[in-house]
Amino acid sequence: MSDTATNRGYAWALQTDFQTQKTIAAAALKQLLATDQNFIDYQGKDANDEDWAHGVNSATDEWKEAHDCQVAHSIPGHSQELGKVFLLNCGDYSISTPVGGTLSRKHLFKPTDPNVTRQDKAVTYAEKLGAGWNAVMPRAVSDGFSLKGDGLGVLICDFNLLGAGWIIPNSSVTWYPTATPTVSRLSGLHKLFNTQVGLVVTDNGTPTTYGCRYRSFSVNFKKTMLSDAGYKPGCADFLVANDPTSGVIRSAHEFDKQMLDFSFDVDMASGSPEFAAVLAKKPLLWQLTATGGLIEGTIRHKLEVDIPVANYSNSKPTIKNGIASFSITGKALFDFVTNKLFSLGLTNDVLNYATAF
Amino acid sequence: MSEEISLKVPDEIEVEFVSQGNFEAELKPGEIVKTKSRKFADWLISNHNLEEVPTSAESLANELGKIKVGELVQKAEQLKIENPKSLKKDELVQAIVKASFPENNVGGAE
Repeated sequence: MSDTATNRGYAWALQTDFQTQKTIAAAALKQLLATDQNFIDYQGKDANDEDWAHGVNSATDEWKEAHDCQVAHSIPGHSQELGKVFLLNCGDYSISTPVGGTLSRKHLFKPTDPNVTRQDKAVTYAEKLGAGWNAVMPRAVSDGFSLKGDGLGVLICDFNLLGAGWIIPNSSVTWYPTATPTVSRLSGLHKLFNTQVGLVVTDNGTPTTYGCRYRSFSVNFKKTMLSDAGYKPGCADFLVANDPTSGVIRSAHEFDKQMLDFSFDVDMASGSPEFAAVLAKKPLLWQLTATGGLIEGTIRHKLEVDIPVANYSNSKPTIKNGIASFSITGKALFDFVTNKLFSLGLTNDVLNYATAF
Repeated sequence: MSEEISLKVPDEIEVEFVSQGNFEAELKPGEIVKTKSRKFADWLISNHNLEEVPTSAESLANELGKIKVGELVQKAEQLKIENPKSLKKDELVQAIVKASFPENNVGGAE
């Protein structure tokens, strides 16, 4: 069977907690507009008797102890869709209404405070391919994302969804053009482009606005996960409920460390200020914005990345498209003044991401 | 998880909704939000200036008993209790409890 854009689809829906799968009902899931063609990667946690004293030099039996699965996706930088990835990864979330706004909201995302919880939100994920694959992967969490802008194109966000090992291969999920499908389609999305990006780096109160010198960026948030600890023998949480021989799935999937690194390319300036910042290990305020179209009044779709203590690791001279450039890499350090590692602001017309998908 | 904790949202607050992972709270000025997570409650108090309020008439009376009369009068005025300055401390406490937990009033109907 040939692969076309109409026989392939992805969708997701927020769960109320890690363990409770979203009920598959009309419009319960929202389309996930991926740019890739990735599908769930299942890994069985198998064991065998190879080293047992059965008197032969090979395994004689193999069995399944647990299940694991994940999928990687990339989505285009739609102002409304980026917030879904941010919410899964940055559970410290708040909403306010911009001054003069009625339809618009400002969403602020910060890494989840581990003093409150280490369990970020989970989704019930669904995907289909042709006539033979219509799967659901409940209890999926994300272990970070990479947000990037390059050239003239739309911003791109890459992320993983880590399942609990639970896959329902022949699900009841229905897709357009089925009447009242369980996956509702997206509309009215607003794209953010790399050409809308502005970068300001402030050194001890003195800002540098990169303006025309800016070329590209990448912001990479990563959480190490307590993946093995999520299999809890005492929970009796089996792939097939009430079948203790079917192998366990995760009952929780908490994060351990949270870290953010970034990179960006700029045209060279005299004096190599970025390399000087590397040598001096300067703490810098790193602020990137992407300002899009109007929502209402003077309020625009907007993405704001704020790293209060950015520390450059390297600033390497390179030639990009014939231009003498610096490729700068760095990482974020936790800032006690603002009480955050970083924050992501998103102004758009989504009312609340906790109920948006 | 433990008993339900009640928190009063400040009269002036910029954010309308907050969450930490699966813990969520809609913040409407002056209203009470409830949570069963002590950690989430502490986070709401320290990050968004919510104020923990007693969840029963008895615990409120105990709390009020530790407060000075002048402060009790202020609380009574906020609750629109008539002539609070003319009341003794125990009367003030009873009036505030009565206004805060009207469902606990017995035989108090006018």
